[in-house]
Amino acid sequence: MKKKVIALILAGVMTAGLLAGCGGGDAGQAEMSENTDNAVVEDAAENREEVEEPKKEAEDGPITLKFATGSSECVTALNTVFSKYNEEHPNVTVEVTVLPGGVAGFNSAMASKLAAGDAPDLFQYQWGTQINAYAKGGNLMDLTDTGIRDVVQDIKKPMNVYDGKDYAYPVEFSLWGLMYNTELAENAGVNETPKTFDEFIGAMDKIRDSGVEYPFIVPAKDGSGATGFVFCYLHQIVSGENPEFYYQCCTGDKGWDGEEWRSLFDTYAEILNYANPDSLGLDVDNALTRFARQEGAFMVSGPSTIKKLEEMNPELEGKLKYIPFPLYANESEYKTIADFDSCISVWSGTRYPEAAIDVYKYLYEPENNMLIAESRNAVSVVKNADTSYVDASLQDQVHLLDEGKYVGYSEREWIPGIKEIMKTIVQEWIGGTDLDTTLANLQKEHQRLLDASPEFLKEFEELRSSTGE
Amino acid sequence: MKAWACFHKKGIFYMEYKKRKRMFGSVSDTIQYAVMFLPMLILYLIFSTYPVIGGVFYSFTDWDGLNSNVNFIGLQNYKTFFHDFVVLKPLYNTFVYAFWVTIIQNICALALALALNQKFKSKNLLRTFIFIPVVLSALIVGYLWSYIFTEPMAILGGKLGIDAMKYNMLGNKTTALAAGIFVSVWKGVGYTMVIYLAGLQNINQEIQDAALVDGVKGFQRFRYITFPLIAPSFTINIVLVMEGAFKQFDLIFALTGGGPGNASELLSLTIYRESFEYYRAGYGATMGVILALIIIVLSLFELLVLRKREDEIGN
Repeated sequence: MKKKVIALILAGVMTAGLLAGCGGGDAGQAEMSENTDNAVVEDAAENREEVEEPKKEAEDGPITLKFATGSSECVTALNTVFSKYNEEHPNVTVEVTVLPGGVAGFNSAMASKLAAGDAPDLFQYQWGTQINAYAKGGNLMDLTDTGIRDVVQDIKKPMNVYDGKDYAYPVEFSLWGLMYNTELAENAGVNETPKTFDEFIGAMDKIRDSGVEYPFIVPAKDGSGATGFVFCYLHQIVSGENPEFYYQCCTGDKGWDGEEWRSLFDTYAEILNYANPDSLGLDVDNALTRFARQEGAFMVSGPSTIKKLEEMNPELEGKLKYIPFPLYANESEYKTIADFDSCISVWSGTRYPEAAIDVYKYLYEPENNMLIAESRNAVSVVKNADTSYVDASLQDQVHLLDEGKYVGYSEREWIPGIKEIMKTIVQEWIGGTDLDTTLANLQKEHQRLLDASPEFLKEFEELRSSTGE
Repeated sequence: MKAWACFHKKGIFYMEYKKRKRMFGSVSDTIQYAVMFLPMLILYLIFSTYPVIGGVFYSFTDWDGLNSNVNFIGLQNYKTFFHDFVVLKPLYNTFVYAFWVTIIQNICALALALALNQKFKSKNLLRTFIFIPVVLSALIVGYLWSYIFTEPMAILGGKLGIDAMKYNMLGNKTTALAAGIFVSVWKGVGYTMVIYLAGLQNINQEIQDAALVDGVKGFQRFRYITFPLIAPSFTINIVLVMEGAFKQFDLIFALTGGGPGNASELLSLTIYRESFEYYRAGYGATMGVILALIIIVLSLFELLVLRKREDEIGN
């Protein structure tokens, strides 16, 4: 009987606790929200259709903000910046979280966090149409009045603008291309960095003859690995020569089975003759291990990977170069890929809008922005910051940037979801699907995305008109 | 209690009271049990029933998962599903995966249970070893086997001259799903084995002894005595393994990511992609509802057939 009474009391306490937990918080938050300044949140809420105004907390007590990033290499730099901020504002702590899994992994995790109303206060993600996807849902705070636009370099393609308001700003200006092991190349008698496609194939022939079985490492198990070459080709050759290409594909003026796509896959097929045959089972981490072990001389990756490789194998220090993919027929056409890479936004549902904006502005102070950019082997976007690339492996590209010989990331303005589709299609093609079927699938899948987002084309046209394309 | 006492003299009412008390307990007992049950019921309603209802609701909408605007579009998502070329391969893969996992896992688990039901010294240690993968996270198992297929197994394949192994089974569209089935069975076989072991230990030793006296040995003993008598374990294992295989997500996500291409993509991965990568949460919810219906129909069918078999054995 005694046990029954205790069990009954415990059950009652649990039930009461559960009900109090569900109901109590809102009341407390509602009370607190009355005491806070609504100015910044109101701006964000204006853009949200049928969205409740976020509950806010008093901002004079201890505040903990959450900052999420998909770029693990930024964590140390971000923690340094936020520690400095904490010294100046002892009541504000910023916790950094990494959402792994690349761009797709980050976007998926963010989608579920936003849907659950439990998103980080600030988050760093890929610069592109994703900003509009978040802004359209009323998930981002309007940053137009923060003054950051005047601080950062000119934004030629305003992908951060939705409905006339700014919802994100770029973090860094970054390169994209090919990691190149100069030691393996020199051992094979290749003393000059290849700048044309013929020189590149010639270099791979020599490196293979010197005993490196697969000079080109392709980690096609991951999306970025499978499509690394594809996007280099699209940026440099296809969109580089015809910036209208994607729009023409959307409108039907260009065919998905046209010369551009065929040429892309033909070139990829030629390169894959020098690549590891297990590419479809190789992920990026294992591929980097192979590259660090000097089992390959070329691999498409971001420039921040150079630092990672030098940490994995210190003997590689000074032997790696980061070069544009040598896809051109003539050296005079040689161009690199450079553009804004990531951006930062503030979640419209943050409970501490003022503190979040203050932290946001702090991130764009020249020395702080520079620190974060350098952690990704990129340069700052802040106007007064030092914009010279510090890493020796990048020096060969500086003159190309100075001469304006670069193209941007073309696919960033493409429809969201296209990267995942490209990954699947490219993997199938590497796995043996014929080119006609591959291109037909590409067109079908892209059309499926367009059908699901009929407003995308209109928004894309608006973006193009705002850039004067 | 006092109210019931007045019936004491009328015998029959008291008997009825005793009978009801035996069946349902007293009123105060019932209240006590209800209050004890309440927290679990509330949790169940919040974390299970509410999401299910929400999922069904969103399956009739065009919700993108990000935007707060949700429009009711009737059966449009369901019509799309039955004409969508993208779901064909994952749906086929899901059935192939669930079929083979159910068959292989049950055969392996039964074999292991029979072996480990014998009397020998290291049987408890072996049972523990076989059960360990069950308690590991599916993601950890997926990443672990991803490494094993990429490095050690590839090296072994190279030495043995087996190309399929040498070039990583996870990267080959003809073997990726088979590799997923293998890892899934490796992870789940311990759990299924434990249920079979419980069934085997419930078999009356006298029946076994009588069969032995009658000269029933080896496979005949298994076929005519052991297997029929573990019918309840067989029923529950078939249903549980099949249902788990249809819902499999994290293991395949970590192991192959559904690739190469969509060679090992299960419907659960397609739901994830549609909802979170292509921002078609409404359509993803529709797929979830359809997957749930498939599982319910197949489970009910299996239960019907297997329970009938149990009854036949019982008679």
